[in-house]
Amino acid sequence: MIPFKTTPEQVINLAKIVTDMNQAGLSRDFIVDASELARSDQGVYDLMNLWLHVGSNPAERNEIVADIQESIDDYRDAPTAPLKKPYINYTSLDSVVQGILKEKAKLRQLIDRNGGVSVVAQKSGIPQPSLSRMLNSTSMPRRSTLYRIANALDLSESEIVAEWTR
Amino acid sequence: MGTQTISSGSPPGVALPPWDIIITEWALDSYLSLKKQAVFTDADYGDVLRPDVELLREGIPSPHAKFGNSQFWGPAKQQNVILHGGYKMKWHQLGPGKVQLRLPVAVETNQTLLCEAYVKGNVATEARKMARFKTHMNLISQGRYAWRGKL
Repeated sequence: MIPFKTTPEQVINLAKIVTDMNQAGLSRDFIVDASELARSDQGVYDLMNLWLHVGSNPAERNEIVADIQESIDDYRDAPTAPLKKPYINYTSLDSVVQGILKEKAKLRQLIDRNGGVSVVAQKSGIPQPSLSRMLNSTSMPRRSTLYRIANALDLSESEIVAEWTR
Repeated sequence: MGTQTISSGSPPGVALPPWDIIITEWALDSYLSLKKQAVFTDADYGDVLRPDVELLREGIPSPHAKFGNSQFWGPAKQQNVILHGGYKMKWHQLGPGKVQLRLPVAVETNQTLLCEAYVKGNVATEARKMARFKTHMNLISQGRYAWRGKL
């Protein structure tokens, strides 16, 4: 992988994107994290640039915001060296999926009891498209995301942490 | 796993150790989503996907003829710019939905790392997936990734 460093033109472009993201109502923490990362990670820079260029498509913009947050979380949660986690056999995938869906249904109930996705997104600082994607997908939720929800809703660890997390 | 003899790219009869095929956590997470969406059947996995991916043991560049077919294997690109060290494995007309499945693969010294698999969609989706792959490759190059075993 060739190291990436933004060119002066890209820095100027980022400034425009940051301004537009701010006007679009994205949270300051998200914009700051994304723009800082975009200076050294080409993938994040590309996503921010895509966000700018699909302005007329709110659904696509939401997908990009969720992708950017995934990348921010990837960096935040990344181990300092390759981390070996337990192997999950292909034949176990169906039961893992069922376990994740069950845990997410429980999480959805908690969120609904606390005002719903948009309220919890705002309280936790998680972009709404990211929280929606997490709840609606079968991906393993990040432990760090669950903690952000727990902190926002003043929940105990036992109420929030699931078996299948990453 | 024993050693194997590779005739292409090495002197005849020289046994080279097989490359590791590492399942990153990004790959595992994508398999969970694809499984839930029934993108491929168990038969597709057992008869097509896994045997194809296991060919990566022979190393990159691969001596296997399939890797010369650009419909199956090629460098990862974004806007026609090649991502150095990044490749895509491709399947067409796969599963009940006859979809195009893509598996981004990062290549390191004597190992390949499977990243986030996805169903090929429109241009915007492809651009997003390649952007994410760039981030994954960046983290992999720094050794900052979680793995869920080897194939």
